[in-house]
This record gives sequence, C-alpha cells and structure tokens, in this order.
Amino acid sequence: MAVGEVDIAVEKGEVRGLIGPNGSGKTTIFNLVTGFYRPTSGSIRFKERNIVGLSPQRICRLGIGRTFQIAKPFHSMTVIQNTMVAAIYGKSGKGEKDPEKESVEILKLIELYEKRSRPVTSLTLADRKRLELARALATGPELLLLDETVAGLNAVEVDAVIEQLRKIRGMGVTIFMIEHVMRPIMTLSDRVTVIHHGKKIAEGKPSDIVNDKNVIDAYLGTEAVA
Amino acid sequence: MHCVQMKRGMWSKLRNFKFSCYIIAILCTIPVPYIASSGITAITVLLLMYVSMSVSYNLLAGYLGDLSFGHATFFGIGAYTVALLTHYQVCYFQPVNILFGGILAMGFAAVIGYPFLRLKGLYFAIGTLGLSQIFRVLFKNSDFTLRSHGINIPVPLPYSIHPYYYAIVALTFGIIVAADRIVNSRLGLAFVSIRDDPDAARMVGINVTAYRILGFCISALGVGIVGGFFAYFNSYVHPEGVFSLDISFEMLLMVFFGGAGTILGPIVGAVIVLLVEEIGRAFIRQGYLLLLSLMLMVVFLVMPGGVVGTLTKQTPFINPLAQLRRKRVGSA
Repeated sequence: MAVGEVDIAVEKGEVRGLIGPNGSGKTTIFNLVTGFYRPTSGSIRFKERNIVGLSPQRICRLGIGRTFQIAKPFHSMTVIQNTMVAAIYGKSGKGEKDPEKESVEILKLIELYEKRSRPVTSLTLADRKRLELARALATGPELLLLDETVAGLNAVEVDAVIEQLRKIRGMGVTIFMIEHVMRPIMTLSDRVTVIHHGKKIAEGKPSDIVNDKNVIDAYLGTEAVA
Repeated sequence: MHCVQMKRGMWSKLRNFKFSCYIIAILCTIPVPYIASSGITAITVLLLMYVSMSVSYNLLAGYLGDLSFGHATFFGIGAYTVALLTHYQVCYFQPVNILFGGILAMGFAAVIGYPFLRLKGLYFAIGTLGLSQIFRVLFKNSDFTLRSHGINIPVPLPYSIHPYYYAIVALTFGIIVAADRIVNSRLGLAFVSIRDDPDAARMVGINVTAYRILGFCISALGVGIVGGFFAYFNSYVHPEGVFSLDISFEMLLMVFFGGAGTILGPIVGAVIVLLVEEIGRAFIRQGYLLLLSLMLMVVFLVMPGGVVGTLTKQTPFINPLAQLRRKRVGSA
C-alpha cells in the first residue's frame, strides 16, 4: 500500500509544501487527488465536495491543476499551442473565453513568451518544466499541485521559479507543492507536511519542521538545508 | 472555429494557397470521363475511393493515434446496408442508401466505441481486427445476408460511368474539406493532445475516452459512406470482399506510408498504394500483397512519418510502433 491513513487539509490561499523521502507516497497522493488513482477508503474533499471517483478531466474543470514530475508536454505542438489546449479545455465553465490572450499572458508570466512558437521538442529541461507550470496555470485552477517543479534546475532557474510562484500565489491560487529541493519549500511555504512510508509524520511551519526529530531522522539528515 | 496559428499573415496566404489547390484539383478531375478511356476513369474512381477512405481513417489513426486494424468492418457495414436495402426492395434511392450505410456504420462505432476504446494500443488493434473477421463470418453464414453468394445490385442500363465518377468526386472533396476543417479546429487540437499524451490531456480537461469515441465514429462514417458507394459501383457485395483484411490493411498502409497526421499524407499514400497494387497485379499478380507488406515494414523501420512526414520535416512524426506500445493510465 503506497499511502495509508493520510489526513491532510490545505487551506485556501496557502502555500503548502509536501516533502519526504523517495517512494514515500507524495506523487501517489497527487494521483489520488487528481483522479488517476482511486482510494480504497476515505474521502477527498475539494471545496466541500467529495471528489473521489471523478475523472481527472472533471477534477481539472472543478479547479485543480497539476504538473507531472517528468514533464509531459504535447510533443507535436509548439509552446503556445500546448498552453492554448489547456486554456481551451481546462477552463470550461469558468468564464472568460479568450484562450489566446490568456495563454499569452501566462507565457509572459512564466517567461516563455519569447519561445512561444518553438516546438516543445526543442526546449531545455528548465523550459519544459516551465511549460508544465504554464499549462497547469492555463486551466485556471484554484488549487495548483506542483510535482517537483524545480528538480534538475540550477540555482538561477530555481530563483526564477520561486518568483513566479510568488506571483501566482498573489493571484489567489492555492499551491500544494512536492519538492526535494528545500529552498522553495523554506522560502514559500506557509506550512509543510512531511510524508514517510505513506504516512504523515509531521506538519507545521517550515522552521518547526526542519527541527523536528522525526523529520530529521527520516529525511533531512542532521544538517538541515538553509 | 478558432484556429491556433499565431502568424496571421502567413495563415491567410496558406489558406489562399490551399483554396487554390482545391480549385485546381477539382478542375483537373472534372473532364476525366470525357477525355480518358473507360479504364482510366474506372481507376480514377478507385483512386478517389482510396483517398476518401484514407483521409477518413487518418482522423482516427493519424490524428487521434488509435490504430484500428479492422476498419473494413465499417466499409462492409456501409456496403451491406446499400446491398440489403436494395435487395429487400426497401429503398432504391442511391444517395439515401449510401448515407444510411454511413450512418449505420457510425452508429455501430458509437455502440462498440466505449468498450473498445478503453483498450490500449495493441489490444485495440487486435480487437478491431477480430471485429472485422466476426462480421465476415457472420455475414457469410447468415441467410439474411445471402451467405457467401453475395448480393447483386442491379445496374441501371445503359451503363455510364459518369454518375458514379462525379458522385465519388463530390464525396472525396467533401471528405477532404470536412477532415481539414476538423483537424484545424479545437477538436483537432484535442485529438493531437490525446495522441501525444493522454494523461496530460486528461489533466488539462479533455475527456479522452469521449473524444476517442468521437474520432472512431467520424472515421467510421467516412469509411461507411465509401463502402456504400462501392456497393453501387461494384454492383456486387459479398462478405469476403468487403470485410476483408486487405481493405483494413490498405487503409493503414495508405495513411502511414503517405504520412499519418497530415492532410496531404493519406492522399499521397492512396496514390502510391493504388499504383503499387495495379502495377504489381499486372506483373506479379497476388504477389502485390508482398510489396505492400514491404512498404509497411519500410514505414515502421525507416520512415515513421511516411512520405510527407519525412519530406516536410515540420510535420510531426507519428511512430506507429510507439502508438501500439502505448500503455494506459496514470503512471505514478
């Protein structure tokens, strides 16, 4: 069983980090929330509504956007086309019907506008991750599930992403992010949840988590990252 | 419908170019029955049938990426609808019968679509293959469909190829224009998204299964209508002929050899396949099938994008082997 007895509540408007060793079940939690997996017991509530059993596309339309750990762009298309698909299909029923304009705005925010007509096969890793973020954002989510958005990025790229996430949070989007790189977690999160072997072992403010003995034993090691 | 091209200027030029191509092509086809021999005209009818089937099948296999190995099923349903309606003296009006053939084919696709399109790549291929053979056996053994005697459709005399020719010209252009409109619309965008990454497509709000069924139905409609036309043109329909593996295989080959996922690809593929067939049949008779198989191997091994995909590098590759190996949902 990948995830057992996890009780997590993310507040609207907060930035919540989700950390834990590899294989602890973090991505599984995302898969459960977004409808790719079905829980054997328990409920998943989004805005007072149980979303267990709904399809991923339905959940997307309800307002949850998600990036994948390994970027999954639509490889036949250009950057802007990728974003527009999300803007066209992910926004159904959320009002505002100019996918092109919205895509352009999002690409400018994520700093991909210059490369908008490039085929995604020509993008670097950092840009692919940006595109994942842009695409998830284009669906107009209220909750954004980010799966290791800065993994594999250098320090400069990580800084850029942190800034973008700050702006996104300023737009009123709730963010729930899985990360192994501690800097975004420490600088952005209001609270952090720690998972180990499919169970929650700690939850609280980043500064508290970093000093939590359980967390240090399971994951961080005795030299916590600054 | 809103199109996704960002370069506006280039787009209107392209559209004018395309429009002129259509006009020129139509003008070229119109005088054929008057200036060419009856043999050439008949081959042109066959070619246009191939093009129509190929373009329809491309919507499913090229743009949506679902490789059906049994699309002859819909060809046969269209053909038999016409044959049975005529034989049982229900209706003699050709356009209605042909259209009804297409609609029945599409209806059947809608019914079996849901279970079939939840199968992953290879299993969908095998499942559809089996379906076409089930139909072949069913129709061969049913008295209602006159078993293996087949059904003759009386030809109005004196015989003239003209009505058949112009009907298929209109049909082919109709199908090409329809396919073009679909492909450049939001629907086409959804199709390509599903082909590229179904999970990502789901995560941006696309109902993958529903759109797959839609693509399945649309391609069935096109192929079914051609089947109906075939019944009249050939004036004879029998199970081995219309539910044959050859027809399914030809559709697959035309699309992939020509260039899956493009508008021009299936057309080029249809021309090449027809040429190979006719020339092959002249020299090595049934051996032409071997040539076709070799062509398919060439596609899989060397040029997955087909002729058009390889020549015009801007066209995305669609690799048939990768499509068959596709796994299902939700990898963690």
